[in-house]
Amino acid sequence: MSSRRDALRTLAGATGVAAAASAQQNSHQHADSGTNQPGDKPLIDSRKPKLPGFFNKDEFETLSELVELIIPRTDTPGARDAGVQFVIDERVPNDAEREKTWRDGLALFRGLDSAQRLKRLTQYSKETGTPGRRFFDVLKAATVDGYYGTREGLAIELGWHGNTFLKEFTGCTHPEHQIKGKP
Amino acid sequence: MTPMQIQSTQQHDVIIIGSGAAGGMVAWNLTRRGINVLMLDAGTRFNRAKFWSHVKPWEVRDRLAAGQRPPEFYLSTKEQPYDTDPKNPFELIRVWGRGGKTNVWGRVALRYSDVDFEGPAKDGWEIPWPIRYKDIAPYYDRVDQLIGVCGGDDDQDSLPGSKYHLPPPAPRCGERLLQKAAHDVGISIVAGRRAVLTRNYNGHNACHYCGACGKGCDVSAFFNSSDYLLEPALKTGRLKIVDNAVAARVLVDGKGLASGVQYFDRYTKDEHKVYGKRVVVAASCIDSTRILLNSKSDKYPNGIGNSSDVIGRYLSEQIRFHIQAFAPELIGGKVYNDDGIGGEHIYMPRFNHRDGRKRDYLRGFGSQFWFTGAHPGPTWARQIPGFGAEFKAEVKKRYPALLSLHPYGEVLPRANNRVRVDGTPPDQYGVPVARIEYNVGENERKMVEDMYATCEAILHQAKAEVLPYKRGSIDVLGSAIHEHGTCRMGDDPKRSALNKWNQSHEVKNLFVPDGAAFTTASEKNPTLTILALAWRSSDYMAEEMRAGRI
Repeated sequence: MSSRRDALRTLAGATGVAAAASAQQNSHQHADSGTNQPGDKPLIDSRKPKLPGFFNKDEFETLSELVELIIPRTDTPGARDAGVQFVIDERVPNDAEREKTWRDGLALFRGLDSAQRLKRLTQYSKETGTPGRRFFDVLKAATVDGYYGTREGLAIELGWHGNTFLKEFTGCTHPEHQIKGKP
Repeated sequence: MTPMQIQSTQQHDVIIIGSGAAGGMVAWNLTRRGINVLMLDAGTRFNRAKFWSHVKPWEVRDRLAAGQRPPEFYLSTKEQPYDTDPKNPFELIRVWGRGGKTNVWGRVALRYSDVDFEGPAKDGWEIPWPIRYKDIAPYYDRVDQLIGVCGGDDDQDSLPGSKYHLPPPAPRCGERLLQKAAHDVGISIVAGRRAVLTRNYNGHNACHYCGACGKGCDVSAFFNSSDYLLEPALKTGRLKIVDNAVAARVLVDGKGLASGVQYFDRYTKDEHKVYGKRVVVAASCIDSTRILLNSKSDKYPNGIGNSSDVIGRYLSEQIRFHIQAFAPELIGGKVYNDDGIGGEHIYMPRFNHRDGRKRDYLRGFGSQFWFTGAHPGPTWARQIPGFGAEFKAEVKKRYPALLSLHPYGEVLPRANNRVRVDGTPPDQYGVPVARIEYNVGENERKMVEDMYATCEAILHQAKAEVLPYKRGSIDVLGSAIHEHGTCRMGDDPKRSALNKWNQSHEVKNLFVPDGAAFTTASEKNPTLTILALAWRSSDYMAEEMRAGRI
């Protein structure tokens, strides 16, 4: 189902006019958001320019670059395009241990330029049992979970097109996948 | 405001605690037979129009940020705690609200067979079942016809009774390949049996294959107690449901019979007492057990109907684990919409009793395969090595190729696997919470080895690329959400709490039709059997009432 909101959002992402698009979107709830009820607050656009709620400016800048290193933009959007840094910023707080893991982890990349960050990330990814490797695993898991939960990661990159209304479900029709003879 | 104490003078024909599969079925069957029922439900009816069935994964954050919330099916342990050893935790999933867990259940609707019912009688571990397949088969037939179960006609000795199935959904590519590989190593993977409507049925809507069943079905295309049982029961005018009624204890009269129920209002915390001539405890295995154990009196110092000290013991959940792999034929292939009826379209029935190979453990296992294919939430991508553009490409090409195996095995009943209420902290109503003490043993460890070997054989035959796993590891205990056995049925009143009609041996007007009544857990999903037993039990109850015996 093609959605007006999706179209606006893509436009917003491409041109950076998210705030305007967002305002327009909020003034006109589209019929495809079928579970909205009278009295529900309008949706906000997660893509509109906003500030991180948990990480400071330096941390957030580092995080944005690291998620893009994990899943970069290719012919499809990368993790930064998909706003995964915001997803992580929302999910980290309210757990002292988790907050420390991320603060300490991002500090490992403080003051490095892009090339040095890539080098360090590569190094951590090859280690075993070190604090660097542990943070790499945490970062990668969070980036993967975040990215493949966004429209960019799940629909555009992976090609998922489910959760829709189908009259029938065809299933596998490949003769080469069938059991020969009686199952 | 101080909570009040409220007593009703009315005497009801039957009081039912709980509105899930068991309570719903008893209410439906009794009301259509002209009997008046008062039902206590710990929550309220879930508003289907507010379900998030069609909220795309990436819309969830926006909605939450805007202050919207999906329906809160799952009871939080903050609101209602239970006690479990943090070093050996038991995960207990509860739904308070009309229909209970059937709002979000997995919909796997398997019949027990005589392989299951005769198991303990044959191997001698603990007590035998008091019934056999022939006793329950007519009720399975009726349940299948009432609620609508889709499935194949490919019956097995361990999976009988397909005659009323609705058409099965076609398997996905990955499921076909699993069937094929299993077939080549001598194992049958059959069509799944699921309580999902593949066509309009009995006034309920057909599935539209959106795959979001776990968020609750917005058109009620799978069996749930609320729409399939309670709504028709309400239409008879003979069912009254009290919302937000958190049952605490079954009351006892001077003759030692059940006389009513004490409950607390979930929010005001007012204490209520309601009275009735028969009481049905159907609050789901652990909570039914907790209610029975907390129902102490001079006559029953160990909990109502528990002179045998059986209630609370023999907790039997199931062991399970998860293995994921990729089918080489599908790597790099087209991404299909694999939603189907949500969850797997196939099932591997138990086979270890008939393949001629001797096992060094008792009982058996089967397997489910949900998540096979292209689905949202591909957390397996974490396990693909590396990062960067190459990693991204490796994930993408595997996306259509996922094979996902989830074998479930039986856990033997043991007296020390138990639910207790002695010395546990009180909940917010002052009622002791359940403490769950539960371990698996050597038998299960051996079975798990065989379960791994089976998965490995199938995946090896499929030439699949298997994601790393730790052989022998199992999922958190309790996570299968198939609790059984803590108020078990049997012929011997010294070793069982209920007779073969789910009726208390000791308290004739007390019935327990939920999972607590199962003599063994088997490897199967219990809901279809709970429905059949509850129908059978309530037929018996109605006859006993008519005859004036209860």
